[in-house]
Amino acid sequence: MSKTVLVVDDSKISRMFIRQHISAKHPDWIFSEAVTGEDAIAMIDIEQPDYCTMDINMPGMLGTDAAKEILGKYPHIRLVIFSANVQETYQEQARELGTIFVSKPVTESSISQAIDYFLDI
Amino acid sequence: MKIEHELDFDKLSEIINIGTKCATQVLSDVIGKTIQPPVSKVELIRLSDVSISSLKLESEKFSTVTLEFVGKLNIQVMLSFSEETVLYVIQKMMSMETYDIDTVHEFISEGMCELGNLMINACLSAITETLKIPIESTLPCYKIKSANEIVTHIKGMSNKEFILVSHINFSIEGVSLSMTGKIFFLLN
Repeated sequence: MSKTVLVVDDSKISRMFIRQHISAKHPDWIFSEAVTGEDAIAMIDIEQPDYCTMDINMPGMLGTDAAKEILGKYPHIRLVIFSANVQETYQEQARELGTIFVSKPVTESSISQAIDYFLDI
Repeated sequence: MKIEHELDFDKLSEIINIGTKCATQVLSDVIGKTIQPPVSKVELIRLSDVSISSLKLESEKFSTVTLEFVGKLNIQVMLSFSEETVLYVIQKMMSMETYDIDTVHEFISEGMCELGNLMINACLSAITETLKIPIESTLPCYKIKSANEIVTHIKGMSNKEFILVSHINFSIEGVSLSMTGKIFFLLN
């Protein structure tokens, strides 16, 4: 059964790269996109994806705050924090949320980290 | 932060060079090419001396990305690349070697915004981790600026006596084009 992935990122290029890299490994997975944390929360309230990638710095709320709200309501969603801001404080926040922090840029290697987490490998 | 002694400047240069190295590694990851170890030089320039020549702005137009960081360190960081460098980098980043130049131009704004965001964050994250001072950043702002506009921007933004500039000269394996970038650190 194909999986669903919600890509949350205000950068069109990042969303495109994340989709491309994941699709290359899992062509049957289905994607949806959100540009802000608020949009992501609204979308997930309607339909929960299996997996989610979440940027941190976006217009409106921080991705870490959106992730906290999403995982509080839907703990079964496998969510990774995907950010260019690699300061330890954000990595620590990801750990506190019980998820993982993957540093950008979006590359085959960083996407592999996310997919391994999604699939619990 | 007071930069009163040569030793202070040496330490600061070393920290900025660590940041510059991280930013260059990100560029290498993004374009999928090995970048020869960049030659970077950090300069402390008195605000009153800021000019096209002192900043070594050797092109007419530059693609710039600016981010502001707030916290214990309040700083605006601007990355600039010459047009030739940007065209090459975006072509590689988007895997668009076979596309015509007009198509590449369509992606420059989005591509540079993302690349600038990645490079500046890599640079500043390395610096703040070294200094143990967490800071928050704004969203990236992309603009094409002339050399004069860069000078005006810097003079209008910084309220400190000095600005810091990291001049980066880098070459990419198998590419004859000489590439340069600059990272301006404007404390406020």
